[in-house]
Amino acid sequence: METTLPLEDDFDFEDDVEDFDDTLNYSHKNLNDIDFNELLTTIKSPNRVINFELNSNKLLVVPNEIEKFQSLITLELSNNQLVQLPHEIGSLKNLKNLHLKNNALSDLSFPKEMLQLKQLELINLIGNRFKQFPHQLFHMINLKEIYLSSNQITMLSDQFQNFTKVEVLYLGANRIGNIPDSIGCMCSLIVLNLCDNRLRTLPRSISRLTQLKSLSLHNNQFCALPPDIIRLDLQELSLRNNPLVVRFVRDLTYDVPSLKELAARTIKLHKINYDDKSIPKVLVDYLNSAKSCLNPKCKGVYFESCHKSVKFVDFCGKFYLPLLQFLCSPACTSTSTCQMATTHSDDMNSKFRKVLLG
Amino acid sequence: MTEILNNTKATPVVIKKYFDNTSGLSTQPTSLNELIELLYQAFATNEVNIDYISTIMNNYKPTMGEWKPYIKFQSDRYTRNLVDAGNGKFNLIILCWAESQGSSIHNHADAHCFLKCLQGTLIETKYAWPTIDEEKPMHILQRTEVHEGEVAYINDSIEKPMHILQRTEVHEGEVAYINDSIGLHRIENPSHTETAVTLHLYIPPYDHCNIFDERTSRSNEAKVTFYSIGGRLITNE
Repeated sequence: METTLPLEDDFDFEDDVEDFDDTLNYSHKNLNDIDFNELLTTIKSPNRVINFELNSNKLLVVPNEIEKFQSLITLELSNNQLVQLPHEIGSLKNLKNLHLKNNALSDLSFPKEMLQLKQLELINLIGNRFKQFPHQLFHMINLKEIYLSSNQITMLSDQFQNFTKVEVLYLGANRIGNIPDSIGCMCSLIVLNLCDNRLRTLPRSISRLTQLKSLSLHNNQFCALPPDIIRLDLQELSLRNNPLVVRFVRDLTYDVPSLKELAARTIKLHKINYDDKSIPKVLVDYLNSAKSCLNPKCKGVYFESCHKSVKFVDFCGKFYLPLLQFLCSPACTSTSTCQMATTHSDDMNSKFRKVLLG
Repeated sequence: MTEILNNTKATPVVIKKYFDNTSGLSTQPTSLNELIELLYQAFATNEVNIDYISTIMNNYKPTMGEWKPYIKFQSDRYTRNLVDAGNGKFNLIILCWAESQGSSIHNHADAHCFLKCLQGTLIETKYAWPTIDEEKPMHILQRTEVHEGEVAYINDSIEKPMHILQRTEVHEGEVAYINDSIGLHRIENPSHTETAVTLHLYIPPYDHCNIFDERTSRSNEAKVTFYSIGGRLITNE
């Protein structure tokens, strides 16, 4: 069949660069698979297309011809009816942004070639039918934005340590009951959306997310939050529609302190002097690791053995947050709920001034 | 509004004609620029005809292309994008709500607030102002001695949960209205798969309001800021 496509050799860069539009917009065109196949055969220079917008059509499959679009950086396939991705998707070596919102993708939809997309930076899978967090994503170490809201994910495996570049993680509206510890490894995380799930608590590692600015926890089953949340430099925190009641107070396990700990507590309480000339250095380090009991009336300290209970803490005149308190003994539990938080540095006050709670 | 001399239906119309500066204006703005133009004319004097404002907000049929410079979504929170500062008499603002974003509970600093949904669906939850019970005899919580050197602490905190008055959906094209005498509200985009865009008109403009904690009714003052003005991003801090 004769075609009038220009041959690559005859292509004059200076002439053609004005005419060629590296963005193809075929969104909202009611395209079905047959139309789409036809369309692909008519596109000139597919290997120069950088953005391909195909959202809001009626596509059930992505044809193999997609592999001709080797320069593709952004592929927009949201709001279609895709059930699977083709093997050829792995050949798109420049693909950085893959939008697949509102399709019919599920746990078996990704081909093994998906693992070849190591340069992928954004993947949007909102509104699909995943029951598990797609394990292929754990291998994509260049990901910066992961959108998985509104699926049917029930649990997260503890493999988040690879996501050191991820800045945005949306997991809202799933059925997640627990957040794994490895979430603390996501050192670049700025936005974490966990709303509308079945969460009761967060792992303590959450305090390591030093870049975190926005935390959505609304519509869950939170009764209390780990106190480490104070250390975050949050600007947005949503807690509405969680139980958050004092009635929850069911004190967690209390390990009886060891003799070593009791001796150390006494030394600290009575301010007995010590140094590495009088006792072994390892004991000096141990004594220096003492943590203060958060009961303001108690001057005590604890080491490994502490008592956890829920207490409402008022942050610089703002809202009461129910926090898990680490106290030196059950006797230190305060019964009053109207109590100022202890030992605030000005630093912490200014951190919370910007927090918008809702 | 001008005074009504008696209660018959005819008289208010007559008075409106003589004193109402909006009587000659169109009530069907067909473009963004026309809406803004009508607003300026309606605000030409110091009197505001709120019914007219409500009419044009309801009748205005937006075309999304006009709003493009103000549509800016952020993954961490909703954005407020100032369209027109109305010579200080009103503020016309576009708010962009990404999936599942919502506001805190807030008041409106004695201003009128019109909210028109341009895209998506919002949920508006109205709350009653927190009250202090005045009818019961006072109840003693505690009686303690304060000795030399000891410190006592107290504050005025009210600790009752806030009372929901109403929860409604605001669909595309619909207009909601609130002011401080009606109550407080929270606006949220409940969808996890669709974004939402709303058009807000505040009369007069305000830059501070109070935000409220649903569980305890405690409130704090908050500064209200813009993400962009006239389509240009603002660097805040």
